[in-house]
Amino acid sequence: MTSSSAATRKALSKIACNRLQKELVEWQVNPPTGFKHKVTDNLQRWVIEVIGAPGTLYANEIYQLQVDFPEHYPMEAPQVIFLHPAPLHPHIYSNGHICLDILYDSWSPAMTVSSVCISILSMLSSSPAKQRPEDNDRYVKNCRNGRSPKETRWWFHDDKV
Amino acid sequence: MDLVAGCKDKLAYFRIKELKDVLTHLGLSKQGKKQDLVDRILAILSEEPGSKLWAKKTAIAKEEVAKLVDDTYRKMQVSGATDLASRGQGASDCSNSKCNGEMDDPPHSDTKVRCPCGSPLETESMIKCEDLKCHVWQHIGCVIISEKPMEGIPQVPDVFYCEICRLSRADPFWVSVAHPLYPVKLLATNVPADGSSPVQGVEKAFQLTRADKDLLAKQEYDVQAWCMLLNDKVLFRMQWPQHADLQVNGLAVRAINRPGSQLLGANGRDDGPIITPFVRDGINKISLSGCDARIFCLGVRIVKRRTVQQILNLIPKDLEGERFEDALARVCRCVGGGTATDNADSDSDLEVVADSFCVNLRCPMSGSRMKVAGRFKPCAHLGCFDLEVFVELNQRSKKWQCPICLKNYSLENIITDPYFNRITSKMRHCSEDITEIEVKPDGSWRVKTKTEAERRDVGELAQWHNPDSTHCVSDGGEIKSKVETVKQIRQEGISEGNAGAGLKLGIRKNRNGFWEVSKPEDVNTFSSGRLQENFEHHEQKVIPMSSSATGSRDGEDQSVNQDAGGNYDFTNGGMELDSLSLNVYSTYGFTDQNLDVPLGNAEIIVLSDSDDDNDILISNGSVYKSNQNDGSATFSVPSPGIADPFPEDPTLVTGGNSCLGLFNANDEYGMPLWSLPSGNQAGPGFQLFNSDVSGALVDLPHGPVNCPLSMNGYTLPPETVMGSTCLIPDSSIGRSDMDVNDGLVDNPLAFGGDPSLQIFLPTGPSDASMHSDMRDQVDVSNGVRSEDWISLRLGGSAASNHGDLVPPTNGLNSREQMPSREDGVDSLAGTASLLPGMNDGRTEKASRQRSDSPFSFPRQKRSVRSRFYLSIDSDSE
Repeated sequence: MTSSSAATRKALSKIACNRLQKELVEWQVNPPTGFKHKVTDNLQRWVIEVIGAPGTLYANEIYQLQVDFPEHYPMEAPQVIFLHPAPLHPHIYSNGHICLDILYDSWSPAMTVSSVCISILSMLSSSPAKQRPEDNDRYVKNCRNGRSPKETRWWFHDDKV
Repeated sequence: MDLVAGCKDKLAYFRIKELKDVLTHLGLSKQGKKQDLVDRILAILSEEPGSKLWAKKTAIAKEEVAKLVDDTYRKMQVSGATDLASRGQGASDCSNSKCNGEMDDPPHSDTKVRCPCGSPLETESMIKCEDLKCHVWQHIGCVIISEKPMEGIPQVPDVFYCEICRLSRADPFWVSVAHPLYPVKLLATNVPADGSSPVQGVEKAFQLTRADKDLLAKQEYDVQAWCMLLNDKVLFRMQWPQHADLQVNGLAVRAINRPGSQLLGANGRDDGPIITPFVRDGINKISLSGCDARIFCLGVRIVKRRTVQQILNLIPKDLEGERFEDALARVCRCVGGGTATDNADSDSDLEVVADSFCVNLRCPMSGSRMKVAGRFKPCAHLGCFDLEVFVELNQRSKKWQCPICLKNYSLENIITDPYFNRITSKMRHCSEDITEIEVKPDGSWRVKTKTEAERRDVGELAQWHNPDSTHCVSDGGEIKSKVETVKQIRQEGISEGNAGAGLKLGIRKNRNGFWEVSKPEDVNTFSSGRLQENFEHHEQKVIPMSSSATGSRDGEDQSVNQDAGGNYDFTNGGMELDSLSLNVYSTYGFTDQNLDVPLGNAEIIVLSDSDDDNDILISNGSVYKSNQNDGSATFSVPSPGIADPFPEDPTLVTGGNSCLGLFNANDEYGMPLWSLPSGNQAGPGFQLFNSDVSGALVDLPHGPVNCPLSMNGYTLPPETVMGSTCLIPDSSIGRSDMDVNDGLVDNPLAFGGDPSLQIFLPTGPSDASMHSDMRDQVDVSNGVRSEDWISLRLGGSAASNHGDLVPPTNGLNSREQMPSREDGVDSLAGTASLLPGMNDGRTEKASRQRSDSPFSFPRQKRSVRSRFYLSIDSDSE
């Protein structure tokens, strides 16, 4: 299991709790296509199954996303990583970290788990090749200690995939 | 030319600051874009002596200019990027010393200079803080720093805030009380050769007086150390350098929570640590160092804590931040791309009508429905957030950023949205999970409901409301609503009276040649004037009556007005024949361009519309219906709260209002009124006519007659009308427009059923009228059901209201008791000769309505019905 950053270990604030409960209800009523929420009693960590969209490189492949919510969600972005094994993708590191701007600098409190999942699936679907990022080894080495991807200074250079 | 070429190359590296310095030395204007400045210098170099520009300064040779450029260039090279920027203070040296010439912003004699460089000297290149209370001048060279020093020339921003003002906006929860240490720049202590970030730091002393210390004894006061990146893209936030090491009086203070090597993302916010426990009376020492190539400044301030409530109090109250018209314009723009109602074409209207957009009122932050809709004023989008949630979250996150478009603002940009705030406050009592509304391009709205339970929960909110919903409903309160209803009733009564006569006449006309009709003048006006015109008409004729409710509404929203106007008009219409007809139309039009038809208020107009003609005629019927609707609305009003119905839907609401008024009249006044026989009778008859759109026209003539009665009679007639109308409205409501139409038809019958109606019945087919009443009753019940069915707000509220109201009016009640809507309708239809046709129409209409835009469909049906009605009327007549 990937260790989570210190921030996510703090209990959710009241607003965060209410908001997450609403999101969960909304998810259950209207789950995004291609995703399955694995039921747990932990509101602060969601594990979501992603099914590769048909017609893409990842068709029918199943991956797992782990979403950890910080105390002050939704003002702060959730930490979203792929559990092992992470899909081969030019923006996904082998440790599961995802280079996606909305998870970091471009996070907006108006986004939801559902919208983030859809963005990730869209990123997967638009991949031209199954490959790791060029700097995968270096980055993963730097993150050995279970560093959160939120501590990475991401450089979002590719808006095509 | 070598001189020129050489200088040109160097000038290419100059930033605005250097260019300005050179120009200052030359005594030339420093105004203009960077290229202008370069050109100006080059012009001097390449110019022939004696030309006008250089005329005064012939003493200065070109060589001197070139040397000046050279020197400046060399200084840049030496100082290096970071240093250059920080050196700005000193850099201004040259400018300090000399000059006069034409400087662009010469600081005034009373200029307050406060620059992080620490120099209080005025220079030519100064920039003023935008804050109205600040007006501090700073050296451009010190505070305007381009992100990549050697590349771009720092653009002097259009809007510039000094660090103190940026700080106060960064976190409004802390109010600066005093600044023991004004911002000072961190200076690079050594520049590593390997290209890694230079170490920079500053060590300063600041003094706390005994008075300060006394202040700090209070709980809400603290001493805060703060740090800011001078050229931060996010203007209003604190930011500490990487690897920040802060010490106060020798004690280490943790400045940031992020790891020292982590940069602050665009979405991140640093905080200013509270150093109260580390400070003492007298002199204190503070030092900050970090490894960062960018330019920061450090300050110490005494702050006072604000509460969430205090922050909320700083936000302008409703309408203080933005005019309602502006908010409505934004909604119209976002939803419909303009004022759709402007288009008079009936067909397009229908399309437009179907065009309502679903808007979710959930706060993006909390996920719950907004209680107070807040927004950043400069944002162009529709989306809002819950004001209280937003402020509360920002107490900690300090992110004064629009959650929808992610633009960074500050607290002073926050306003409440006058449009959505009215809606959210009206929905305050709705259940949590009802979060969606439908909005039409004209800004009218209703709560979107998916189930019957929800419909019951929201009551009349499920009916279309004028954009300025609050106007009618919320503010008015029941009292106002009652007043309005009374007025409306009177109006209606009058109108009815008028309608009575007029309607009959009109009806007849309708039957034969509604289309052709009747009042060219009116038609013209209608055609020309849309809603507004209608309003005008109303005003002219009706104004006295309607002026209060309708008038105001009309004035407020044009588009909306149409609806409102329509409704009002109806009431007014009673008063004014033309206006009435118009009103009716408007009611039909509510949603759309029906208004135009209304214009036709003259039945003729309706007729005139080709497709609509029939429809229009129908629409006239619909107008009647509208009246009915009004009736229903009125019904609804009584129970739920008259006020609410009004606000809800312009057309429906208005109709509802009028209806309500009628009902109210019935309930309150109505009963007594009933006693008024003669007047009432006349009224009913009129009412019946009124119920029919054409009737409205007819009513006009009658109206006058009734008018005399009006005061007394008005109430009564209205009541009678109310009853009939109400019943009709209910049915109509329940079924939506279609029902309304039927209701209209029924209404006549209903009228017959009512005492007044009965009287009428004689005139018309009494039985038929009775039946119609029955139908109406049924309709009412149906209407309630219909509410459930259709989800029409009016219907729901109306239905409930009707039920309630009806009881008061015995006849009405009985009717209500009648079959369910559909069955009832059918049965009613069956009962009434017209009914069959009506029924068909109704069912069809109902289905259509259910499907989507009841209004549009209803019209047609209505038209059919209206025809029937007309025929019926003719029979009765």
